[in-house]
Amino acid sequence: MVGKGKSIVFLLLSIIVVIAGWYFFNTGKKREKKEKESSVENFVQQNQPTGPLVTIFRKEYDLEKLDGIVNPGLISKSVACSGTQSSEMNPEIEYGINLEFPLENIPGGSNLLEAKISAAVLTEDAGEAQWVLEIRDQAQKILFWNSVLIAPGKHNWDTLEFSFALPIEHLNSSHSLKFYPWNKSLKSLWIDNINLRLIGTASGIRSSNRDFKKVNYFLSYEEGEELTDEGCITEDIARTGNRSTFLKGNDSYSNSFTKTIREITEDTLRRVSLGVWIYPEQKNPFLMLVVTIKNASGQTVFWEGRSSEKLEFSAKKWQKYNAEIAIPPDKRKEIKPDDEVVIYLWNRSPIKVYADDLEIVYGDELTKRGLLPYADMNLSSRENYTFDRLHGPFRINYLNNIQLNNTGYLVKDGNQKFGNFFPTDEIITLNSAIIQSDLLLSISNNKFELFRWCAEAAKFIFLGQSNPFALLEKSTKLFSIDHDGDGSSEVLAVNETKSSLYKLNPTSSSSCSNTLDNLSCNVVWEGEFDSDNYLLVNDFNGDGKEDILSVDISSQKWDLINFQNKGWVILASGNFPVNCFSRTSAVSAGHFIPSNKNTQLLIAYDDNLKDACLVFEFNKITNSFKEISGPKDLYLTQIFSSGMKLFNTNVDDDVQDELLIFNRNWQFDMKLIDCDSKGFYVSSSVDFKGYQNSCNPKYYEIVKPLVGKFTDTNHHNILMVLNNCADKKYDGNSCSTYGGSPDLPDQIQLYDLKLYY
Amino acid sequence: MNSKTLCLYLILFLTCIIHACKPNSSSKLAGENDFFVLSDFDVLTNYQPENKKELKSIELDYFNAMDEGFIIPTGRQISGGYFTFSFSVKNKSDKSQKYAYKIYYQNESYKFQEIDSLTGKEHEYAHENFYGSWEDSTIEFKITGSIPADGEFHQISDSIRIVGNPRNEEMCFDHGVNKRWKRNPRVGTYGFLLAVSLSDSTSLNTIPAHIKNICLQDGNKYQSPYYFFNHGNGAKSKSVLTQFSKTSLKVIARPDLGSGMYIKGGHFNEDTLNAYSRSDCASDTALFRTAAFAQFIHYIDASTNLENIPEIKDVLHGNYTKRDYNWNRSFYSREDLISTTPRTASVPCQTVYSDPVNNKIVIHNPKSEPGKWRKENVGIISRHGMAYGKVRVKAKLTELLNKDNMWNGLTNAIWMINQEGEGDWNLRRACRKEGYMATYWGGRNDKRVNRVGYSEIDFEILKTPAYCPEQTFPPVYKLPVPNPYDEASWNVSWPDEIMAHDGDITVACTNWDMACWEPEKFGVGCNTISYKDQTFDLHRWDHWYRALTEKTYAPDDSLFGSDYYYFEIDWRPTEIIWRIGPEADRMRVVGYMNDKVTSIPNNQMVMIITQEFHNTKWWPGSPYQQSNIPFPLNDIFGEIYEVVIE
Repeated sequence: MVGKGKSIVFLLLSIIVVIAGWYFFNTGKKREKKEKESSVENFVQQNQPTGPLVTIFRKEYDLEKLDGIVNPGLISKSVACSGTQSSEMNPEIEYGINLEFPLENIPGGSNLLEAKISAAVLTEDAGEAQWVLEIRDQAQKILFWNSVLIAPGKHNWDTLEFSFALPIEHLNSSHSLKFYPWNKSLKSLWIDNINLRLIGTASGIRSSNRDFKKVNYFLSYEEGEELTDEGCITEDIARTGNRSTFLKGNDSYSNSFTKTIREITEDTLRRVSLGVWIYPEQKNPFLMLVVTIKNASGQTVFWEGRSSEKLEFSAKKWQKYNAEIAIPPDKRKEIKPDDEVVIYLWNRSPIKVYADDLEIVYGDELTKRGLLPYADMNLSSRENYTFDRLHGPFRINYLNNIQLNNTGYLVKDGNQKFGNFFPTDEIITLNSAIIQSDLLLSISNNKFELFRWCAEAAKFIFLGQSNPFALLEKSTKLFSIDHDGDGSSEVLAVNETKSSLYKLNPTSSSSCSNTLDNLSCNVVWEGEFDSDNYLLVNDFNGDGKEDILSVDISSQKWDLINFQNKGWVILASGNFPVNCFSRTSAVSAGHFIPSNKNTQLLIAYDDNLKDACLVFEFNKITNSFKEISGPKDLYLTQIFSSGMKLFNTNVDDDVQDELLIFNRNWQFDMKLIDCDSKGFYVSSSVDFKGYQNSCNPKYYEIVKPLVGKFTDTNHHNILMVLNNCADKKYDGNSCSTYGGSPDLPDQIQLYDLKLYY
Repeated sequence: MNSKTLCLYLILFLTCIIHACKPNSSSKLAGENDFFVLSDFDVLTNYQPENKKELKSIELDYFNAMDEGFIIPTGRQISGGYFTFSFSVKNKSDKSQKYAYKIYYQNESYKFQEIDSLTGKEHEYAHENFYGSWEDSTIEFKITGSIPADGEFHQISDSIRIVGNPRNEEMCFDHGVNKRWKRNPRVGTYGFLLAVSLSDSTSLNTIPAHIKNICLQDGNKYQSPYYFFNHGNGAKSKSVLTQFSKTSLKVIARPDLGSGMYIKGGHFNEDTLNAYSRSDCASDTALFRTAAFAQFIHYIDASTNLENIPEIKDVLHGNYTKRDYNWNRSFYSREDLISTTPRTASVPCQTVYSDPVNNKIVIHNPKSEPGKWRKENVGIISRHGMAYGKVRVKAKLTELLNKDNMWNGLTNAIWMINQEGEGDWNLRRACRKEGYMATYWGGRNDKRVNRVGYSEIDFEILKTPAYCPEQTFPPVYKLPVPNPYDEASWNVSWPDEIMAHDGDITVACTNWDMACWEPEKFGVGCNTISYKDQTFDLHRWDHWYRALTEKTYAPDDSLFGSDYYYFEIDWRPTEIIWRIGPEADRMRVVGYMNDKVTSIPNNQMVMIITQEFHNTKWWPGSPYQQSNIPFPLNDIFGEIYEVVIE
């Protein structure tokens, strides 16, 4: 009996434990789900920051104009660091200027980490004055409070900086930040030139995967158009084409046109502009152009129509009717990506109306992508803007065009055209000890074609075609390498099956005549190179002979090889960090860093979806690549990123090399990068001038730049192979048919690559 | 006497009776009553005596007019600084008599008719007309010497000049000093009226005190002596004769553009003024006296802030195309933009120049440099206020469109604004229906006030479409999509109705009536108004919008691509007419408004000529946005060759 009782107790206890366990388990899950949801919606800081640290929000106050400052405090005109006004605190004033920022107004950025305030302070004795940060909720309750002592030095006006780490748990988009000086000891202080920065990460800015929405539509009510229904189409009359939509009157509707919010914008839809041609049978019909937005449940979230009631329309004539419909802010908040925007005409009169050629434009032009403007010229002290090393706007260097007088080819001789380059063509530059400037080498029909610049005629001339070589296919990669240091480059051709090293012997002539004879070309070596390896040519060990850095992308193992005695010799080997080299890595070697005689290797790469950039130098003694970038060089990812093209150049005639970077994401991003004692910096962005017929290289859909000393030995040029794609849809990857733009014809342009300021 | 003859005599008698009873002003003006004959009243007898025309002209003398107001004539124009006049009297009585006389002058070009044709009474605004007499208000009627009863005409001579604030109105006084410039003489034609009366007190007492002394009011309002003597009780007086002078005076203002540039205090501190002033451009006393124009500094509202593309280009001459515009508007990220408001000059005298040799004024918007981006407005402002007049400017202001018809972002403006000064001396007449919106900048919830000082009449010429007809406004503009792999996505075209006027700019004519609802046809939206054989579209945004605008397209090449062009604001008491043309005698009307549709300003205004960068938010529907237009690579010049106000 006792044993039986124990069993029952044990059984009951087990049941209790199971029930309790089930209860707590489910409650915890719900809490976790709720926290996750709230963290996704409300917090402006993620757990895993990605991307470089950037200034997400910046505001400067010179206190000359007080617009937008809710509580400027006491403004003094007796002293000022700049302009005529400053904010004063004295024995009767304990709190100074208030700067408030609702977090929902901080544009861009996904991860606010720090707030920095700098301000000019004037005081004889600040006492315990402090600069305060409060985080408040919607009810103005203080959730977080922190302060930094104001400790000016002995100068007249001292510019001090105050930093505040921002606590993630309080960064809810319904909260606000408040900054103010606290005159705790009731001394006399003046404050001027306040600069606030909110720092965080802003991942995704460099993303090249942009989903370009179509926002402009034109409906002619013809077959194949995206109409919701076909019921009202008629062929009785049309303004263009064969069909129009017919509204018989007395509350009849035209065909409608529907798009989801997701299809037309990544952002909030603020406005819809409409234009339609109408043909009323009698004058002054009562029509409405209607925009309505319905949610997934079919409920109407927004409805607005523009009435023609007070407008005058003639009978039996095509006339334009425009309407602009703005979506108010409170409605915008309710709209979701899957909601549908439906547009139609509503005929409220008994008059029959035909309508055709409906234009629809979704959105307005107000917002540009990105964060706030970095350069603010409104400050009283700001006559001149000091260009930032890393942040735009950058000085623009307009490169001068050298007229080629050709369109899509480099050389014309009678009816023959040479150098009809396409973006997928393999084109490299070669040094020649005999011909002093760089030569251009390309592959055409399994042959080498060689070109040089003729200064007297100011044009390219043809130096001939080689015999055909089977190796010279479209997929073959070419590398220029002066392996023996004689001042003339050889050519390494590599494809999947084999590789060869060629020596070209162009005739040296100063005349500007094209050479149509065969180009003399000797095969110096044949063999195999792993075509999957990343190959880079430079004189890494400084012995005057160019080497090849060959990197196995899968293992990151590198070999430094040189061609000696009819074969390739490995000079050194090692390993790079994981992920360094890939097909998208941006790599360049050269002498970038002042006073550093070793060759540097700069690599920008994608390290598991995070931008990374490292700089190595080749140590001749240890025969290895040593990383010379460190934690202080995280800024490099603000300049360099994977996917870029890097070109080694020299634009300022100094000893060290500069870099021309080219990034074709959604912008035409071409910049000149230099390096000084503080590190790498953007010296200018690049644009062009002197081109004809508004054919700026930036405007082309496909751009292939080539850098070389084509026109003389003293400075670089940039040759731009410019094409558009005539395919119906082109996403920047592969194009089957080039051209298709009559007023922006495919062409080759040449520019001087130097500093023009 | 037979019946026929009797009838004839009867008819003749009745005719005479009727004629005698009718207050026949012409018989009065003809100068005879029972007591004396008045004849040969003529003015300006010492001015251009060789000129026998009935209309003589004189130009305003600007010297010292800032302090004293315009005086017509000055001592620099006629020795002694007065016009002489004379008249003759024949004594019809049997003994020597003295007679009392008073001369009046009135601006006839810019006046309300003394008599209201509808009511037959004095026009409610006749008191606003510019009329005067001798400046010394203690002089009512002057007394002649004794005129013998010899049946001969005896000549009496005197003098008169035209001055500002001729009624010595208190509102123009400042600390006891009569600031006559606050009610400057108007340009246009002046007529002169002579009133002669028997000199006895009984006769003189038939003339009200406020007519004898025009500085006095009848109750709380001035009464026009012209109404009194021509239509009122004065017309019926048996003892008073009036006569108009056959000679009239046309007053023209022709400010000297080469007389230097004045710099107003308040815009620049003393150190800056001292550093940048020159002999021809300064704040000194000499230029205060002589300069007809001052450098104009715009008021820039912070809300006009631009986030401008960081490009610096010569849009007009540097092959900047629509494709360039489309690219730049599509592919700059917000971080790369320049946050700036349109600027004003930070130092004086650098962007405006008064050329004394060629008698012209040269203005320019200064160029930008990398790091010194600026869209800086420039302009000049006249210093002498006037009410009414045909303000005509001959100028070559900057072209606005380049050869691709791309706009450079500038607005050429020739406009008028109320003359400023402390106190309420320059308010517009009352708006009798709910009042004016109190401020220029306030929204629809701004309070309404009975009177307001703000007035403005504009020519603004820029690249923007017409607001009317409403059914096609605003044009539907395609939005560019920044897809670098599809040129058509970002290089969007402009609407057909915009391209139809691709080479045109818009001449916008605006009257700022501060939304006074009093005009009988105060309208909202698009309405039409006819003038002669033309019809104009008027546009007002809503009932609280303070301005009424008409827009006309005109070719940029004609207006600003030629050597010069004329622009005229013909500001009259009941209407405003805007005209432009290649020559002064070949102008066409491009805008018309009258007091049926808008409240016409009646306060004193000055003239401004500017080249300015407008925020295109002010001009909805504009095909180019200011923030997407580059900063100017080169200085942008405009020249003003002549300003005439008549």
